[in-house]
Amino acid sequence: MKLFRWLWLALTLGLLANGFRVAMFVVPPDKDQGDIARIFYYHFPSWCGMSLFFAINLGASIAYLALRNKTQINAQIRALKADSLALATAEMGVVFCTIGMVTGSIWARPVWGIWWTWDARLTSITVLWLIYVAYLLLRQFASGPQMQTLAAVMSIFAYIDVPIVYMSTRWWRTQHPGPVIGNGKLDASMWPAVWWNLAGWLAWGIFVVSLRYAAEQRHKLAEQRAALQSLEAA
Amino acid sequence: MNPIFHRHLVLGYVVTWTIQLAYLLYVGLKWKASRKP
Repeated sequence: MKLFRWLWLALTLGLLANGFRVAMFVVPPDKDQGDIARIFYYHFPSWCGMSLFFAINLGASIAYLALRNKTQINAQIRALKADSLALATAEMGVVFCTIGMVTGSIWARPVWGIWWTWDARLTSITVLWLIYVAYLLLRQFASGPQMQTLAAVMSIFAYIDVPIVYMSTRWWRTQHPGPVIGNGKLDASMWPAVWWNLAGWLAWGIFVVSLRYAAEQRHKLAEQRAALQSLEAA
Repeated sequence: MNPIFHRHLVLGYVVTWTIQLAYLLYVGLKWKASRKP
């Protein structure tokens, strides 16, 4: 496992290094926006990372809710694992969401002339960010199995905003550009930079989530051991 | 102009790496704490 993790990190750093090289020095500047369009190669993978990790968070939360009241020891262990995975993926999702918002804002300043506007896309993504930050605060400052159940339910409600964010540029007229992926609007010369950086940042996210998950799982098991020991001592 | 000197582009890439590395540091500290007996 340790060797696999190191190999994964090496692969990730290789992908990111090449992604940076291709984004900066290989693909041509955008014909309308010039070099600032290259920020898209970090902006787009951030949204993909956010969508992936929030989706896993949703799945893990549902699994936790389904398993938490089962009496078999295997089900209890799986519930614990699902809860750890939910926490790790929510944190990573918030990190990617934050980067998506910040890089979008930095791109907007030279292109729109403003850092921010309250259109449907930017408002819905801010709401999404706030909901998941609230989810993490709940997990940080409350404790016990009721907190885990409440957090799992909250994550299901939080995920409702993900498709709204995705569809916002289709449903409403927004300052934010419309979709460019899957409809031929993205110039063919940009795709190599998109793919390398997408692969690199997703691999990075999986690496960091695996570390966070393992740390949380160990923390939970240590807590359980301590609780058992205090019961035996009583 | 070389894109490496584009002010907003560099800012975007630096901010991305700063946030990711700061979070990795946080995870690393959690990881280290979880390994203590």
